[in-house]
Amino acid sequence: MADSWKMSSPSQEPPAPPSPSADAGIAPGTAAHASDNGHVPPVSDIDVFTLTPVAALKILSNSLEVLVRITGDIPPTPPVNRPPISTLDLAEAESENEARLAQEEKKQKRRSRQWIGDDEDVPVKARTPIGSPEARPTEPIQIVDPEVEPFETQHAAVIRKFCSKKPPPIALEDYLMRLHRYCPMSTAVYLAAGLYIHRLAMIEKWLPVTKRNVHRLVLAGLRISMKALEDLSYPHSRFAKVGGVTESEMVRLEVSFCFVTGFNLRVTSEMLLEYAKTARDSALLHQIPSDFQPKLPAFKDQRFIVTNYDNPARTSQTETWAAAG
Amino acid sequence: MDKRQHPSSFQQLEKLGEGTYATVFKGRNRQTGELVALKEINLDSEEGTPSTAIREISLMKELKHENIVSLYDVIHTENKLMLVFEYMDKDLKKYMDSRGNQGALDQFTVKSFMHQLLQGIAFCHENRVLHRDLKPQNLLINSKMQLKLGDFGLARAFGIPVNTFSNEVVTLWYRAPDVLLGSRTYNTSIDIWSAGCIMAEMYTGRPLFPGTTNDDQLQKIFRLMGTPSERSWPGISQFPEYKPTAQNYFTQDLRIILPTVDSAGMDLLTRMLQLRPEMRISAKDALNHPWFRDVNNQMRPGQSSQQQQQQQMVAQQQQQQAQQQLHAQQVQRQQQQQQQQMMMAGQQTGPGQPGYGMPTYQ
Ligand SMILES: Nc1ncnc2c1ncn2[C@@H]1O[C@H](COP(=O)(O)OP(=O)(O)OP(=O)(O)O)[C@@H](O)[C@H]1O
Ligand SMILES: [Mg+2]
Repeated sequence: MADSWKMSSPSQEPPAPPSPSADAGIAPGTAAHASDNGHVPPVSDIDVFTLTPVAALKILSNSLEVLVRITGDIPPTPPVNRPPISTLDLAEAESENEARLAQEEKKQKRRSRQWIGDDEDVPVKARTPIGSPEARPTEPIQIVDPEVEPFETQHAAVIRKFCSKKPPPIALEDYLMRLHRYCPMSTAVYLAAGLYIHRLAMIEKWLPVTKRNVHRLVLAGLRISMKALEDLSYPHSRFAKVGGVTESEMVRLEVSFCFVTGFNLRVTSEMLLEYAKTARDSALLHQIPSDFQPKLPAFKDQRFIVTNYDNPARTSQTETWAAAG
Repeated sequence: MDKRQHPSSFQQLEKLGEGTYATVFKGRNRQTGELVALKEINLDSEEGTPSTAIREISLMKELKHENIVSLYDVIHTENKLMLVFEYMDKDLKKYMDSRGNQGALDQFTVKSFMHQLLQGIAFCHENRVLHRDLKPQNLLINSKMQLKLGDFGLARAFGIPVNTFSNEVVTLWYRAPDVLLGSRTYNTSIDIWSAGCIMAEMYTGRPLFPGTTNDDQLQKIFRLMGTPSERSWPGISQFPEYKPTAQNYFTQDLRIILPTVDSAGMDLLTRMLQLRPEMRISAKDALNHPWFRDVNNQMRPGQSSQQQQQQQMVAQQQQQQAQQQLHAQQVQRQQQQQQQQMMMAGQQTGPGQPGYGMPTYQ
C-alpha cells in the first residue's frame, strides 16, 4: 500500500487554488426569509447570533436616521475647484465607460451568472430611484501628493462621491427593505455596515451623514461589508441596479468607501454586539460630545496611499499619511 | 508636511510570482532602497473591487506578527490595486526545490519552520481568522530563515453571524477530509490539517496527498489514515459528500513513508492529521508539544540574564514534564492503536475520547 503511494506521488505543480465563490451550495436564495418579521428585541436581550437580518436592518436604518437628524441638512460639499492635474485621460475613460454602460447591461443579462441568478427576477423598473449623484462621474478620486494638491481638497473630492443632488425621494428604511428584497444580506453584513458608517461619522469624524448622502453611503457600506465578510456577493450589475446607481458609479462608491474607511473592515461578534446595542438605544446616539463637528481626523492610524501608479509623472508622488509625530 | 514623511515611490523590478488574481513583482523603495514585494491586482470593472483583495488588505492590516508577512501600504488607483508587502526571498516551495535534498529539508529546518508556521497560525486563530489556503507556495521565507504566512486572499473572520461559508476552500492537496466531505461548518482545524500535510512534505520533498479530484483526494487520505466509519467518526454519514466506499483501508504506519521523522515529531504529526476535525490538535497546543521543547528553550535575544535563567528553569521543568508526557503519550498511543485495531474488527469505538488532546503547560 505504502509503495503504491510512493509511486503515485508525482512532482507536479499543485492544483489551482480554490475559489470560494464557486461553491454553488451556499447561495442563500434570492428570496428573503418570509418568517423574518424583523422583531427588534430590547437592548438587554440582543444577541447577534439570534438577531434576524431584518431586525439588524431596522437597527441600521434607525441609527442612520438618528445620525441624519443630528446633522441637519448640510449642503453638499461644493465641487472641488482644482486645476486638472494631468488626470490623465480619466475624464475620457469615464465618459467612455458611461457610454458603454447601456450596452454592458444588455450584455450582462445574457451572460450566465455564477450565483444568485440573473437579474431576471428584478423587475425592469427596479432601478431604485435615488436620484443622480452630486459629483460628476469625471471628478477624479485619486489621491496625490499633498504638495501637489492639499489633502483636504482630495478628501472633499472623495466624500462628494456619496452625495446626491437632492435628498432621494425614497425613505431610508424603504430603500433598505427594497435592497433586502432583491439582495438579502445577513445580520453581520447589516450590522458591520452600520458600524463602519457610525465610526466614520461619529468617531473618526470623516464625514457628516446627511439626507443627501445616507443612501449612497449605506449602499457602498453594504457592498463592502458583504465582500469583506461573506464568501459570496451579488453580481455587480444586480447590486447596482437594485441600489439605483450605474455600475460604474457602484465601482466608484466602493473605491471611495474603502478609502474613507482605510480598509478597517475586520469585525468580531463583540464589536457587532456593541454597535447593535448602541444603535438600538438611539438615546445613546444622542449623547454627542458638545464639541462635535464633522471634520477631518487629525491623522490616520496607518499609512495608506492612493495615487495613480500608471502615470509615470505621478509615480514619484505616492504619499504616505502616517500618524504624524 | 512633515519632512520625515517624504513622498516615497517604488521602482518595479522582476516578476516574483503569478497567482490567479494577482501578479507579484519585486520592487525597490526609491527613497530608502528597501526591497518590497508589490502585489498588483487588476480591478475588474464588472465586479468592482475583488473581495479577495478587500479581505487580504483588511485582515493583513490588523494581523501584525513576526510570522505573518507585513503589509506596508496600499496604492489604490482607478483600475489597479497595488499592495506593498515586506520582501521575502522565496516561497517555501521554491525554497525546498532550491535548498533541499530533492526537495527534502533537514530535521532542524523542518522543526524551525513548523514552529514558525504554527505561531503564525495560532496568532490568526486567536484573532478569529481562518487562513484557508495554507500550502508551501503561500508560506514565505526570508534570508534570516524566518517563515511567514502570506496570501490572505481566502482568509476570513469566523464567529460572526454570516450567511455563507464556502466549501470551496484550501488547495486540494492540503484540504482537510471534513471539507472534502462537504462540510460548511469547518473551523480552525482545517488550517491544522494543511500544516500537517506541509510538515510531511518538508520531510520528503513531495506532497503527502497529491490527489487529482475530490474523490481521489479522499481515497489517498483514507489509504494512509484508514477509511473512517460511523464507529470511528460518529456522524460521518451525515456529511453532504459522504459515500460509503467499497474499499476499506486499514490505518498505515506513517513511519513507513516518513522514516526520518523522530517519534516526538511523528506524535505531533499524527495529532495534526486526525481525520475527525474535533480531534486535531490546536495550534496553541501544538506549540507546546514536546517536539518543540528545544526550540522553546532557545534563549531569545534581548532578554536579561535573569529572565534567561528563569526561562531555563522553566524550560528544564518543561523538559521533564515533556518527557513524562511523551512517555504517557506513547503508552496512550499504543492503547489507541490496539483500540483502533479492535475498532477495525468492529468491536470498539474509535480513538480520541475527550482528554485525547495535548494538555498544555506554561
Ligand atoms: N512578500 C513576498 N516576497 C517575495 N515573494 C512573494 C511575496 N509575496 C508573494 N510572493 C510570490 O508570489 C507568489 C504569489 O503570491 P500570492 O500567493 O500572494 O498571490 P495569489 O495571487 O494570491 O496566489 P494564488 O491565487 O495562486 O494563491 C507566491 O507564491 C510567492 O512566490
Ligand atoms: Mg498564492
